[in-house]
Amino acid sequence: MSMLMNNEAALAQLSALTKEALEEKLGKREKAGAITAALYNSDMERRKDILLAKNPAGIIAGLCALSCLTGAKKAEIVSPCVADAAVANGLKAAAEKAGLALTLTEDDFVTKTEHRSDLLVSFEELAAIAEKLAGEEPKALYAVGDGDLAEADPAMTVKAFLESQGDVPEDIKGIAVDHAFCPAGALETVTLGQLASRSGVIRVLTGKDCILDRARKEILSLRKKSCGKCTFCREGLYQLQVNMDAVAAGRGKTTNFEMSQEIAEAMLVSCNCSLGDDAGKPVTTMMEYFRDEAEAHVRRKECKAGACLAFLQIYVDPAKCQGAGECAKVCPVDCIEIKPGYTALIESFDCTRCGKCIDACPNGAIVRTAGKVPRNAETAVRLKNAAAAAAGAADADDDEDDGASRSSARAGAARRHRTLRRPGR
Amino acid sequence: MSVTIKIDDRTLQVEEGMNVLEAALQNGIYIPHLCHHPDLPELGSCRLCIVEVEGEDGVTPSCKLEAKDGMVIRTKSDQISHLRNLSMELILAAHPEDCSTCPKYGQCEMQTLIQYMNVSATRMNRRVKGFKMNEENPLIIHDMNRCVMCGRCVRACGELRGVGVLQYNKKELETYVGTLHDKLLKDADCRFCGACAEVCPTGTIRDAMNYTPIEKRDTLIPCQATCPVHTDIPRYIRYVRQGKYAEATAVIHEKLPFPECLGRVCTRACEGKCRRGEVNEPVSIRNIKRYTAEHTDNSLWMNKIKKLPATGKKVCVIGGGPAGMTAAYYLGKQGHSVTLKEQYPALGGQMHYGIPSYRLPRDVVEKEAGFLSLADVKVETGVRVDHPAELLSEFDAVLVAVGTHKGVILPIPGSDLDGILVNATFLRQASMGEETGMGKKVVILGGGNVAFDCARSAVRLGAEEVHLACLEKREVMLADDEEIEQATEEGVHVHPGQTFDQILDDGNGHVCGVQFSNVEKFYFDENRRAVTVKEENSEHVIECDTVIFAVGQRIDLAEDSGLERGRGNSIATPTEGSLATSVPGIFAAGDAVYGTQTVIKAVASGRDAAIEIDKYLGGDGDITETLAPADTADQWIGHIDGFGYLERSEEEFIAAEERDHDFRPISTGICDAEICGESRRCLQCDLRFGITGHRLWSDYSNDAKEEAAI
Ligand code: SF4
Ligand code: SF4
Ligand code: SF4
Ligand code: SF4
Ligand code: SF4
Ligand code: SF4
Ligand code: FES
Repeated sequence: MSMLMNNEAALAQLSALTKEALEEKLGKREKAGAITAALYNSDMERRKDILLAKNPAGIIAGLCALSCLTGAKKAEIVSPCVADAAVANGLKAAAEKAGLALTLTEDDFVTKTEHRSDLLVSFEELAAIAEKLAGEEPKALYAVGDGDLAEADPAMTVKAFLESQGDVPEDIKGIAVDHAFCPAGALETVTLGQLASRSGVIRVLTGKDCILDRARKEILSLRKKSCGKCTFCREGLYQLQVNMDAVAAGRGKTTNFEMSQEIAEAMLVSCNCSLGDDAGKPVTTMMEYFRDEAEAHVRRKECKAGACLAFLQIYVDPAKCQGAGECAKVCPVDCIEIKPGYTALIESFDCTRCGKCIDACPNGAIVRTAGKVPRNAETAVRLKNAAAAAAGAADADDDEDDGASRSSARAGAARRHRTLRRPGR
Repeated sequence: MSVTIKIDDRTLQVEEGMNVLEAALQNGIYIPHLCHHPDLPELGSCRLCIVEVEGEDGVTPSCKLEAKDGMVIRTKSDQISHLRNLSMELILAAHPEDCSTCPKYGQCEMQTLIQYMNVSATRMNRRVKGFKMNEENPLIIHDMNRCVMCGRCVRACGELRGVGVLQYNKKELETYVGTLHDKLLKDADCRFCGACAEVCPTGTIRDAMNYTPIEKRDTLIPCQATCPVHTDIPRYIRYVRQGKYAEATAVIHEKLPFPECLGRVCTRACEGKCRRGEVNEPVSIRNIKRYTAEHTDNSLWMNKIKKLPATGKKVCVIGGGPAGMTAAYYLGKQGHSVTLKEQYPALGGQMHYGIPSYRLPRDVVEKEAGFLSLADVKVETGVRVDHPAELLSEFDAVLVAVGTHKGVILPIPGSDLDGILVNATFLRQASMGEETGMGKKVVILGGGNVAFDCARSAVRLGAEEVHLACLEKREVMLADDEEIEQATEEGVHVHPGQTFDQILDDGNGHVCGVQFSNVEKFYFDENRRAVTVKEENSEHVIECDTVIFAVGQRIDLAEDSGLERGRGNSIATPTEGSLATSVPGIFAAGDAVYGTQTVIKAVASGRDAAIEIDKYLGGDGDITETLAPADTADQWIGHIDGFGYLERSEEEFIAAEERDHDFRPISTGICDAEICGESRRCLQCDLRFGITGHRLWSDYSNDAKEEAAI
C-alpha cells in the first residue's frame, strides 16, 4: 500500500480493533478534547494536502484510531483544500462510514491557543497510522522542486533521493528545505529523515540562486503568514527583513548580519508554533553554511548570482548598439538617453534593473553584469554610420506619441523616480 | 496536592500543576511578565517570564510551566537575561520611544517594566506602525501604535467576558488588535464593560476619560458617584436582571430608606452621568428602582437591619420630611431614643404636602414612612416647634429639618390683591383636600417643577383655563421636559420668556388679569445679578381670577427661633462640612439649610446629620449596613446581538384625557415585559473592579528595587 492511495483496508480494519489492540499497534496517547488535523503552519508548500484527495480513507482511519486512543469526541480537518467539493465529499463519505463526527474548516493556519486541549496532528501522520493499521511500515513523503511527492525511506541520503528523482544540476551548491538551507557538501551524508522537513519539498540551489535573495524571500513569506502573536516571530522577522533588505540594497553593514544572527538564533527557541520555530532558519542556516556568499554583499559589494538588483549594472555595449532606440521605448522609468548619431546611454542612477530593455534591443546590445561597467560604456559614442542611424532615430521620434524629446528623458526620469521604488546605491 | 519547588533558592509549597510564574508572584518573587494576567488563560507569547529548570535544556516561559514536585527553577542567568532583554528590545523597537507624551504616563505597567529591565531598542530597527488613533468609539480609545501585542485584551474580551469582540487582525504584514472588519465597537456588539482597558498593560486600549488612581472608581462608576447617597446602582441592577428583587431592594436600602418614593420622583442625577448614555441612552435607573421596590415584600433587608444596643441618649428631630425621617431612622438604629415632631398631621414633608399625589401616591409615602418603626422612632404629629433650644433640657441633641414650607410672593404691583395664592400653601391645601380659594381662570407665575405641580393640580381641581408664565426661554426652563410636555397635554398653556409687569385689579380689590412683557434678553451681569431686557411695546394681558406664585419657597420657622440665619433666611451651619448650628447640641439638615432642593439630597443630608449627631453623642458615626448578600458578579457576560442599540424602556403614563381630572397616579412605571431588558442595558461599570490589578516590580521585595536601580 502507498500513503498516496486510498487506504480502505485500514478503515475496514478499524471496527474490529479495541482500544487495547490499538494501543499495542500504535502506542498509548494522552487524553485530548478533540483531534485537529492540519499541515504544519510552517509548511507553505502545502503539497501534502494531496493526501486529503488521494487517501481520504487513510486520513479518516487515522483520525478514528486517534479518537479512540485519546478519548476525543470530535475531529476536525483544517485545510484550504476542503473548499473543493470533491475532496470534502470524499472525506465526509469516509467519516460517515466510520461513524466519525468530523468538521471541515477552510483555513491554512492553526492557532494553538484555540486548541488548548486538542491533539494536533499532520495529514502525513494520519496516513502513516493507516499504513500501520493495514500492517505496513510507513515511509515518508518527499519531492524535488515542483515534482510530485514520492514515498521514500527516511534513512536514504538526500543525494540518493535527488538522483532517484532525476538529474541533479552540475552547479548545485546546496538545497533549500522548508525555510532552511543545507550545503551541497553535506548531501551525501545527511539523510532525508535528518532534514526534519515539514513540507518534504527539496529545492535545489545552483549558481544562479543568491543565498541572500532566497533568505529574503523566505523571511517575507514567513512574515506574510505569521499570525503575529509571538514577540520573536512577529518582531524578529521584522528585524530580519529590514536587516537583509538593507544588505540586498547595498546599504548593508556587518552589524546587520550580527544582529540578525543573534535574533534568529533566539527565535529558534522562543516561538509557539512550527512557523516560529522555522522563522529564524533562513538566517541561521545561511550564516552557518553560506556565510561567505552572504557577507560578500557587504564586504565586496557583490552578488555572485546576480540576483540582488542593487549589485547589478545594466549598460549599453557601444560596440553592438545601432542607436535604434527600441530600449528607450520600453524603459518604464525613462532613463535611456538617445541622441541622434550616438549610441544609447543608460542613466544608471535611475535604472531599476528591470531588464525590459535587454529583451527589447534587436541587437542584443544591452548587458547585465554583476561586476563593473566597462569604461568605454560610460558615455555615448558616435555611431559609425551616423547618418543612417540619425534617420532611424528620427523615426523613433515620430513614434513617440507624447512627443517628449530625447534630451528631456533625463528630466523626465528625475521627475518620476521620486515616486518609484528603486534600490539604493 | 501540594508539591515542593525551589525558585532561586527559596523553597515553596504550591499546588501541583500550578503555573510557576503565579507561584513566584504570589510568594513575593518578581518575574517580569507581559502577556500573563492572572485572570486570563496563558498565551506564552511575550517571553519575558522565561526561567531555567534544572535538568532541562534552554529556557521555558514560567507562565506556561506547571509546578512538579522537586522542580528547581532559576529566574536569573546570563542566558535568561540575554533572551529576556532581547525580547524587550524587539517589543520596544515597535513601540513609541517617548513615554512622556503618553496619556498613560505614570500609570503604565509597561513603563514600569521598561524601567525595571532597563533596556532600550537602540540596537534595533525602530518602526512606527502608523495606525490612526481611533477616538470614534464611546468610552474607549484605541491607540494601536502603542500596542505591544500581549493579547490580554483579546483574551479578556473573549475568554473572560465571553463577548469576543476583539481579535487579531492582519493588514499587509502588520498584525494588530481590532474588531471584525474594523467595525466600530458598537457595531461589533461590544458591551463596553471596560475589561480590555483594565487589563491592557499599555496606553493602547484606554478609557476616554482620564483619571488618577484615586478618582478611578468615581470616574468609571459615575452613576454611583453622582447619586447623593451613592447607591450601589450596578449591583442592584444586576440583581434585578436576575429577577432577585428582594436582594436588589436590599442593596438600595443600604443607602436610603424610601426606594419607592424615590423610584417615582427622584430627579435622577445618576442617569445624567450614566455611561450607557454615551453609547445610546442612559439606563432607566429610577424606574428600575421603582420596579424592584414594588416587587418585593421587604422581609430580606428588614431581617438584617442594624439595631445597636440602647445608648440611653435622646434625640429630637423636628420635621418629618425626607431629611428628618432619614436622620431619625438612622439615629434610631444607632441605639438612640429618637422622637420625631411633625407640625402637620402626616409624615412626609414635601413628599406629602408638596409633590402632588398624582406623582407620588400618599399610600406609598405612608408605607415607607412606616419603616421608621423599625428604628423605634417615636412620632408626634401636629406638633410645631419654633424654639428648638427649649428641647435641649429634655434631649441630648436636636435636629432641625423643617424644610421650606413658606411660599414666596414677589413684590410686584397688585401682589396684595384678593385671588393671589402661593405655591406651598396651595399644594398643601390641595393635598389635604382643603379649600384653596382658586377660581376658574388661573395664572401660575414660575417655571420650575413646583410651578408645574401647581398648574397640573389646578387642572385637576377643576380650573377651566390654566396658564403658566416664566422668565426663562423654553430651552432653559427649570422644570423637567417631561413635566412641561405632560402639562401641555393636560391643557396647560405655557408662556416662556415673560416678565411679570403687574397684576391687574378688577376695581373691587380682586385679581382680573396679569400684564406681561416679552423678554428680549435675560442674563447675569458681572456681579451675578439677573438682568432682564424687555421687548418694547410687547405688553399684553392674560385675564384670570387667580394668580399662583411659584417662584421659590422659604423656611417656615419663627424669626426668634434662637438659631443664626444664613442666605435666604436658611439656618446657618457656620462650620464648613458640619451641620451643627450656632447653638451647641442643635443641628440642622435638609432644605432648611441649603434651600429647596431634591428629595434625594434631603436623604443624603439626613444621613450626614445622623452620622454627625451619632458622633456628637459618643457613637462612631458608622451608619453603614450590609443588607444584601455578597455580590457574586459573574465576570462572564456573554455576547448580546445589537447590545449597543438596545433602546431605553420608559415608564408608562396614563393618557392625558384620563388623568387630568383627578389625583390618581399617572405613571405605572416600567412594565414586567421590559424590566429584564432594561436592566440588561446596564454596562455593569463596576464589573472591571473585580479584575486582578497589575502586579508591578515595585510592589515586590527590595531585591527587585535594588536590581532596577543598578
Ligand atoms: S510562532 Fe509565529 S506564527 Fe506561530 S503562533 Fe507565534 S507568532 Fe504565530
Ligand atoms: S533595466 Fe529597466 S529601468 Fe534599467 S534601463 Fe533597462 S528598461 Fe530602463
Ligand atoms: S504605553 Fe506606557 S510604555 Fe508605552 S509610551 Fe505609554 S506610558 Fe510609555
Ligand atoms: S466587550 Fe468589554 S472587553 Fe470586549 S471590547 Fe467591549 S469593552 Fe472591551
Ligand atoms: S491593546 Fe493592550 S492588551 Fe491588547 S494586545 Fe495591545 S497592549 Fe496588549
Ligand atoms: S451603565 Fe449601569 S453601572 Fe454604568 S453608569 Fe449606567 S447605570 Fe451605572
Ligand atoms: S508572561 Fe509568560 S510568556 Fe509572556
